[in-house]
Amino acid sequence: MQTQTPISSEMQTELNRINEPAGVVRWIPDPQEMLYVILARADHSFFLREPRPQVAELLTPSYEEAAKILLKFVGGSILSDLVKQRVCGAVEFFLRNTCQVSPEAMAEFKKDCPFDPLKCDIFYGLGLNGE
Amino acid sequence: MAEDYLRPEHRVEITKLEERNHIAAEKLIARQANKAARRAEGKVSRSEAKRIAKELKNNPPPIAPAADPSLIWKKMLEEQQNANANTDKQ
Repeated sequence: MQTQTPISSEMQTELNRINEPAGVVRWIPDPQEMLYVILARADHSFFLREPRPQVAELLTPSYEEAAKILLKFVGGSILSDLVKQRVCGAVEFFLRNTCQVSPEAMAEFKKDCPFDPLKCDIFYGLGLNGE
Repeated sequence: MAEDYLRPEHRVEITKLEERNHIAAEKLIARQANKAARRAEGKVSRSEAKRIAKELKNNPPPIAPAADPSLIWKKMLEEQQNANANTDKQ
């Protein structure tokens, strides 16, 4: 029988904070905008203001370390596969495209990560009608 | 994208709400300053407490920036790893 490890309230708050923009509660459609909101602790409506902020200017390589920690934290958490897929996928895209992490360094880093968005199939077990 | 369905008046509404939040934050600081002064009233003289309240009202302390989330995640990641290690041992 599998026993679930108890989660502290602090961790629950943190998971909720990540779950909101990445999940259905306050879904942010653009993954990079979602990642910025999580990393910078911005409000979910941050990108709705006029003039619209450009995520390419905000999400700079200075967030690289934080993004790597986020990937490991989310990968090992109890969040749903969909949320993990969105957050980890956005982090990988950010590391490869914005921080210019080489494929070898990326493969080395991903060895310690508990979740791989490329290998996870979020539609596993669903029928033809998605039920 | 969902934001594309927002009409211009909605965007203006959002900006207005943000401004209102800022004013609300300032009001909250003023209220907290008053509270702090009232709490201090028991320890310092009444005039001193009033002076503190006035000073805090005129120069409210800045809102503390949010803690760096990566530090919190790092701590929790260690917690997770420890919990996993304990489960493996059992």
